[in-house]
Amino acid sequence: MSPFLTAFKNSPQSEIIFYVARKTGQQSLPVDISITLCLFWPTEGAARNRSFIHSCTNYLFALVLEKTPLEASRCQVHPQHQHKRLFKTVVSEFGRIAVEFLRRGTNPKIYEGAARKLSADAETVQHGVEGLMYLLTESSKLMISEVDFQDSVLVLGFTDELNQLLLQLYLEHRKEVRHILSELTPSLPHYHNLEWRLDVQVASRALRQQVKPTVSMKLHLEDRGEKSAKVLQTDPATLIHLIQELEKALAELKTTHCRRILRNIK
Amino acid sequence: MELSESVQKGLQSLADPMLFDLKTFSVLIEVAFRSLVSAHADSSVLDQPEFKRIDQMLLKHCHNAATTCILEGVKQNADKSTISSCLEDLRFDAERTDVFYSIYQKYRSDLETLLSSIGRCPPHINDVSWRLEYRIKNGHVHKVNEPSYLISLNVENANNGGSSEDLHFSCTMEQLQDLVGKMKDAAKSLEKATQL
Repeated sequence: MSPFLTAFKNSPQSEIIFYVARKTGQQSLPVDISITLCLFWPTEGAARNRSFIHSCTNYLFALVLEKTPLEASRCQVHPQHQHKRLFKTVVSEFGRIAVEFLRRGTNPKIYEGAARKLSADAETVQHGVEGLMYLLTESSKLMISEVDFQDSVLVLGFTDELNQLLLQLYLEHRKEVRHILSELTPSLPHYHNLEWRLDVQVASRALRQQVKPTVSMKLHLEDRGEKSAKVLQTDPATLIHLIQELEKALAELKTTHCRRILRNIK
Repeated sequence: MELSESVQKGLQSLADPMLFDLKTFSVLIEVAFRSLVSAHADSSVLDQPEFKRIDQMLLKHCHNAATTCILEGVKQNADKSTISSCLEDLRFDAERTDVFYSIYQKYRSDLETLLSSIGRCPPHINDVSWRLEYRIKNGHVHKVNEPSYLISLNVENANNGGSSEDLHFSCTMEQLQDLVGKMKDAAKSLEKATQL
């Protein structure tokens, strides 16, 4: 048994079965309880980045081959040829559902619909889709390269076709998933627009016959879709001072110090 | 200049040489102007030695009338003829009118500045501070690698007793360029307006 398998077997989660898909030609090791797959992300200090995926893999095999998960683990990992296309469709359909759920939130009714079509139970389908969602979010978060993604997925022992499918799913949607994830980060309201107006105060209750130039501004800010506008005022001298300060801020980005940092931290 | 009856009565008393001789009158007018311009309310403003002989009620009434008249004059931006004709109607002789007007000239611009600062206005921007940061990663997304600005506007709220607060917002380089561009447009149109 491989070293990392031993480690997981001794983990406190006793209801987890360890299944390792080996390459074609070797028999898989039937083991005890449920199904967890360990993925090693080769980037960024590999030992620390183990992700556990509650994977649908074996359930999918079982669905397609009409065997129980445990029996499926005893077969060779190649699905039967006549079921290849069906398997591919199922996975791409699950992929599509996973992306849709990441966009709009989960919808339990879809699990039931799919379960009925595949004559399996809804929980199985749910695990499958959730596994794919997790795969997508983790890989998009870390922004791993194609090679790293393929290496990681290789551990699962799927066919090349399926690996390609997962890779395509990742590459197509990673920018979008990253955008969705970035909405979770803490943020301040950010600048949206500035409207300005030049006024001259000519009189007030306290003093008639004035000439007091002012600049009125409406600052539009946006905080996660919530727009707010603040009406502010300033006098000409302060306006010039503001412009000078902010131009200094912009110039700072072009200094060698800044450029060096931007260039080297990638 | 429209003045209420009580103010007119007070000023008429001031004009009366039986109640106020010229020296006392000058001192009272000077005290009235100075009390308007000074930053703190001074309760001992009428404790001048020249005022010892005068009835305190009358003194207060006249001081009140004088300050009201002064503020009305500054508010209306009154010129010499307006003030002279107003004071003459209240039985001021030429000498006292001259004394009043010369002190009026002395303190006029300070009083104008004071009055122009009274009033309601939207929060007033006093200063800006900025911070440039480079976002590397956060808990949800790694490899962000983007520079970003954090701008704080120091804003003074004239209505709530001059309390100042900070308005914070973040922006990218493009957004900051947009902001500065718009401010420059405003400054340019200001310049054009001054040249008209």
